[in-house]
Amino acid sequence: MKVSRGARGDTVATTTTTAAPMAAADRVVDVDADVIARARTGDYAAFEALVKRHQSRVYGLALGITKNAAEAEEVAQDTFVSLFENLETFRGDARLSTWLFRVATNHALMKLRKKRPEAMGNATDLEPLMQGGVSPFDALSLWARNPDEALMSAEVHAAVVASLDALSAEDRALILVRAFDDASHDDLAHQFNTTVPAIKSRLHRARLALRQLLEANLRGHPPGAQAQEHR
Amino acid sequence: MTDPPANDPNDPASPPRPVAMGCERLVHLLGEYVDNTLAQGDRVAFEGHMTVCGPCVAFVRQYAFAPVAARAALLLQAPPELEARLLSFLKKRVVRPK
Repeated sequence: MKVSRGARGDTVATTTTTAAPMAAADRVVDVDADVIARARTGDYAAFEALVKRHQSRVYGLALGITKNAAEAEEVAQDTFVSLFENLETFRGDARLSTWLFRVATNHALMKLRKKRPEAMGNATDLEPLMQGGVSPFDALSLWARNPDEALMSAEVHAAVVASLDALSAEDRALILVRAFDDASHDDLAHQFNTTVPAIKSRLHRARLALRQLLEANLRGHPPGAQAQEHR
Repeated sequence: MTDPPANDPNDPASPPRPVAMGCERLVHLLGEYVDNTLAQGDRVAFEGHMTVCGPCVAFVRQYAFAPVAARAALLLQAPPELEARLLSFLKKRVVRPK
């Protein structure tokens, strides 16, 4: 453990952990770089600035995976503790947001596996969703024409969350990490311990399933028994 | 949404023509299109198909929209007091008083 002095005179304790690797593929420009540099010198206000900047997205990602507000907050806490403990080893090879989402996803999935393994669900089976082929979605034309307007709709939000919940935990995590961080396929393959072609295929299938479930929910015909098959 | 007829390989008079993209192929390539990793030739064919197939345009928009909507919906669920609670927790957890 190392003890250093923060900007406001606070004494800061850090420990070295193996929570997650801080390095990724290529060095990238990170909007957080200056603040990270200050936080690494023991500036606790800089660390808090990083927390403030990323907390809502880390929480949102965790909530999407765990489907539980209390667990999502615990994941956010664990994620920022990991950040604090690993600040000194952060080399800036990946964006901080990418690192945070990777750690948050690992914490969230680990929590589900330990506490509620039944909530992990099975890999999303597309076959029942794709039966009947591609339909014209006439009832969803507004959604298709005006996605910005649809984004503001509470009805759409409820349907989206219900649709997301019907996917397996890992498919939810995959879709959300990509949506929150625009993570590269390389990053996703690294995080989910698979190959780039495999992650592309899995992401595509998960998105197809989410789209199809969302359509069913927006039509007022939630998949019901069908969704249960995806849990 | 229908796939275009293929060239007739048994008809020597059948002129060569670019292979148009059908709906099924479009759905197969949708992920790469949305992620902007599609090869240029496939992208041209993909977008060419969308100029003539309304249902596929809707499908592509919905496919791209669903994760964005999920992110928006989840962000709205973050409680306003989360930031203060988190900062308070972290201060107790990682900062040792002098």
